[in-house]
Amino acid sequence: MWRWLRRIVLGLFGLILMALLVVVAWNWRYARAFPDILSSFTAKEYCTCRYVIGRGDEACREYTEYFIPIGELRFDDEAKTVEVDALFRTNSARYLSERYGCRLE
Amino acid sequence: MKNFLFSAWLAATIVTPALADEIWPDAEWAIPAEGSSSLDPAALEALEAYAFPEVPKPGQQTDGLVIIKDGELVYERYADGYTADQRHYAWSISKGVTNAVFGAAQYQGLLNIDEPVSDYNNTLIKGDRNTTTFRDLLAMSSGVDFNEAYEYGPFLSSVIAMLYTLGHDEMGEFAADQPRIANPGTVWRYKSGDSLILMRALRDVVGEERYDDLPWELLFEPLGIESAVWERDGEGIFVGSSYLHLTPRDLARIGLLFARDGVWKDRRILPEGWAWESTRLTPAFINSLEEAPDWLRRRARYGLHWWSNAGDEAAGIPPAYPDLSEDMLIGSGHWGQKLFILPSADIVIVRTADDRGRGFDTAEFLELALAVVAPGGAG
Repeated sequence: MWRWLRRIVLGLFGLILMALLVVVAWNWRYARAFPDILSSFTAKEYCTCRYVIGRGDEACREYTEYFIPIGELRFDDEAKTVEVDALFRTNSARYLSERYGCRLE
Repeated sequence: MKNFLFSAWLAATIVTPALADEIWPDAEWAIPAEGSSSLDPAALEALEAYAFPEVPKPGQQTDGLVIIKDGELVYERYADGYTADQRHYAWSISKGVTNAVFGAAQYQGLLNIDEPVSDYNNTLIKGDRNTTTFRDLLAMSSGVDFNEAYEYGPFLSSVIAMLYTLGHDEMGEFAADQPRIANPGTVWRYKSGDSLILMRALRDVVGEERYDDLPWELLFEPLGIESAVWERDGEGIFVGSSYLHLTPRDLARIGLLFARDGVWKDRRILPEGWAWESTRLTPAFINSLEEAPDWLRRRARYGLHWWSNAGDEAAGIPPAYPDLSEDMLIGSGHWGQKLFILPSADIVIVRTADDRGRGFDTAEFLELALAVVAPGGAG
């Protein structure tokens, strides 16, 4: 009885995994960049929120919040840089000037 | 016939006599003299109850609201955390300002939007697609395959890949190199990639040195816009789809320029008729609307990097908002940014927002806002 159940569960799990692999392979054009999205997005938009729009830390964290939580966010008000760890990747953005605003690095 | 009457009425009532005593903003917006405000108090209360309710509506947050009527700032309010001097994200309203940059460039003879992008010293668009014109791109009909989904489809989204990952160093090249789904000028797909191809191509039109300040030279300085920040990709190309930030009052200046057919005070900035032309449906859009889902058929009208209220009688497409005039331009950005321009009523409405859910209803909002400034109807 349990052996059968285990086979069914494993079988289903395998099918789901295969389906997932097919989806990822099919969309490989963008899927390969997926792990960077969260840290890049958060770094760029936090930088703009703080140094272009001029809002505070709490408001900017809320503005950039996604349903997947980020790791650490570090900002340096003197250099006007923002660095974010998320999904095992790190990306950063920098405020360049009055007319340029922020840019990903 | 209706169009003829409309034009005749427009010529008779607005264009000719108003020129001499038209009100324009200088360093600051003109404000109606005390006691002369003609806002309907009951209508104002209803608008504020919608835009700034005491109990926040889930997923809906108005950050700022500015209304311009006959060149005067007649209403303005900001939510906690925002002020009149503070920039806000324009998000995709940036596309309408990209349109203005191209209009001004065309007026100054720097380019002709009906010529192929590849005529201007670049190999951005390759192969037999190189016949793509600036107009094809302004009309969102480059034929490039580009997925515009935001946070709901990170695996599939071209716009996220362009802005944040694979494309962020060279966004114009990234967009131009996407696979093709149709010939230029035949299929309409709303996509930020076309805005980036435009802005990348523009650098080859004017050269690197002039490009760096071009929106200021052509547009922001003549209009007295001082708050504009336009973020760029790794190559210094303006992110014409998304990354313009300015105060709602300054965004309203862009609106007034279009409301007054591309003229600013005594100086023409955009070609005559450019604003109207920017609202007209293109053949590519009409083709694509036939296959579109119902909600899109009902509300979506698109011209040249602007949403609009245009109908097309021959194609059997009515205006999206039949009670409002067909010359309306609509800028619409991520998370609820709105810019409504009604040239025939000389009204501009800016709404900045942080809507994280659906619920904001353009028809309802416009009805409430226009009841405040144009009680007789803005048609």
